[in-house]
Amino acid sequence: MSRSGLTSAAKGELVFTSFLFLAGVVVLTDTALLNETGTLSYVSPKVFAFAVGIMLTVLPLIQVFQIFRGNLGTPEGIEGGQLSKDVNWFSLGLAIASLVFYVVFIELLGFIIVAGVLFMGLAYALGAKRILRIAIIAFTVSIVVFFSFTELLQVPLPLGFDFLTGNSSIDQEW
Amino acid sequence: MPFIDGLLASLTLTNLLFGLLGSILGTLVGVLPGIGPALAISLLLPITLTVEPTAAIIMFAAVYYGAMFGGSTTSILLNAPGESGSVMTTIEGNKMARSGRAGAALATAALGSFFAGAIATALLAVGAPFIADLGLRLTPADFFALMVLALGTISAVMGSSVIRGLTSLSVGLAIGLVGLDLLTGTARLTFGSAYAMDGISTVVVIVSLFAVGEALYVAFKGRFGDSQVIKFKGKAWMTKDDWSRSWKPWARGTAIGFPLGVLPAGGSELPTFLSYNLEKRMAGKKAKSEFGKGAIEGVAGPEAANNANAAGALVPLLALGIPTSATAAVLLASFDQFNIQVGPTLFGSESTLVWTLIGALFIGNFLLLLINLPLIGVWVKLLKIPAPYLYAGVLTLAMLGAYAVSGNTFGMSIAIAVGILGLLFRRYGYPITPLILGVVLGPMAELEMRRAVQISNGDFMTLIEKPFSVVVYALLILGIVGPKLWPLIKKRISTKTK
Repeated sequence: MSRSGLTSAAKGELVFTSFLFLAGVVVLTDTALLNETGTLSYVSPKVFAFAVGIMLTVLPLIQVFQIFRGNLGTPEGIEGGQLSKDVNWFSLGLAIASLVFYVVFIELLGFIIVAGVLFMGLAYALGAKRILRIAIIAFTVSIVVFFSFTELLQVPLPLGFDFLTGNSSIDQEW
Repeated sequence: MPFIDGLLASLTLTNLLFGLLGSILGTLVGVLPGIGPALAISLLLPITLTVEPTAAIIMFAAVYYGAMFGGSTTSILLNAPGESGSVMTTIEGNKMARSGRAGAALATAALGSFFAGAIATALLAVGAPFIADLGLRLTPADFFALMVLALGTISAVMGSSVIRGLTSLSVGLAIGLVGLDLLTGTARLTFGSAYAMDGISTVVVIVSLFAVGEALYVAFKGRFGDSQVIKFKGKAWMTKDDWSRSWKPWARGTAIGFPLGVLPAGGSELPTFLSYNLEKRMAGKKAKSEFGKGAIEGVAGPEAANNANAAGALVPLLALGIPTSATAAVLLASFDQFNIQVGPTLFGSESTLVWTLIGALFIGNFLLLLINLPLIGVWVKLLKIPAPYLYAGVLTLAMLGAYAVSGNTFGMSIAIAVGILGLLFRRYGYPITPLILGVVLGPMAELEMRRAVQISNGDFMTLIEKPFSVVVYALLILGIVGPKLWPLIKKRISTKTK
């Protein structure tokens, strides 16, 4: 690699590695500022945390030097598919947006709707193209999953729309 | 005989049904690309909220074995290993399928898995109580040493470099720190959040690293082509010649796989790799010419090694409470959900459960042979599900799990954050397994360390005083430095002989 500039892959890895280093710094600061509530123990909760913090700062630091020496990570392969040369920001954005929608609206709109939307968003992001077909499959899956978990396995999932009936499951949780 | 009692206990109708369900689900996830046994079991973890422990654990055990059986199908017919232990099977297996010998390849894989599974489970039944007995005599300092050994060697072996593996481990350890400290109640890395006090759920971390991380990674950087499934109709069976060429590789594969499963050697890559190379070296004249073009020995050996390895990994898990692979870590998390303490005392306190589990493994192994050989055609049809739908379905189940386990927005937001971390780990070549082991084993290791120092009135030297821990740390250094030194030594030897 030329000294004049890093490739975009190297820049990306540099950002990621620095982020890991910062996480290590956060662990160290948090540990240093700990208020120890109990002093009955000989070994304070700081000892192990400091060790982890040191590992998480020193190791990424070594890795940063590795990046400058051109020693980059190889992207992992994909089962049943191939790595594409270019990155796909749209697909990634759509997938993350579907996930965020799921988390934000699950109590309000219920599992069936948010899981259906999540399924649709992800299937489309991963290359399924016929929207109507995706929608039919998505909501069939979410309905089947909802009832098999709530009825067969007795795992409670939110049905949503509590604001219509007035008894909010969110309030009950608090 | 506790073992006979266990076998009989596992023979209730409910348990058999859960075992069958687990075998089917396990084969299913083994066959489907993109879902490994670790993810499969973590997706099923929400059922631990309602199903009783014995049935659930029998089911998880069956999934565990089933995923090993199913993995060979994709390797042979699709040339895509369903999980890392099947990579070696792909080499000869897919070539065999291309030359019209798919039936024999599938049969030797299934029978080899069965054979190895049965022997290795028997070894587990004999060996685990013995090791648990030794475990009862270990001090907290010894346990700490063993955990550091497991974490260190696996991190060093898994990644493309030792630094990457250890970095992944330290991220996992940091995630494990979050929450109230077990001994003093001090809040670490919570930043004032009440939800973070409870810590970050292991289940959420595992599910989102595998399912969310993989899905985001594929969306970001992957593309699904038209996969070419080799057409296969009829039965999976072997000729007399195939039998006589298969049984020795099965036995050798089992002999390699089991001990490497007991040791923290980083999962099934190494034993399957060793078995493949051994078979290649030991092959007779006819087989030698077939290697690279589809030799049945190259399927039989690694498949047996893979299954024996999976059973071997249960020894340290059950007897010492130390997981040595990602899947074992998930199994440990499932025991945790039921408040069952895995480790040396397990054979005393929950002996019925352990023996039922081991009995269930035998039965599951047999059920798997039944559902894999005659029904192989059904599984092959599953390979036609388009990958985008498959991933979308898995992600939906994963997020359901995150909701069911945590029950709040915090847990699910963590799932997304860890998913993005999983994407970045994959993109920049960091191994996932050390992170998971760090999350699971880190808090346990810290507890043992503090117990040890507590006992010795605050003297940290206690950690390295006894010969046992010294030997263990020496092994750790050997495990980390050894792979680096080996090529150098080899080079020196070869230059000397020249």
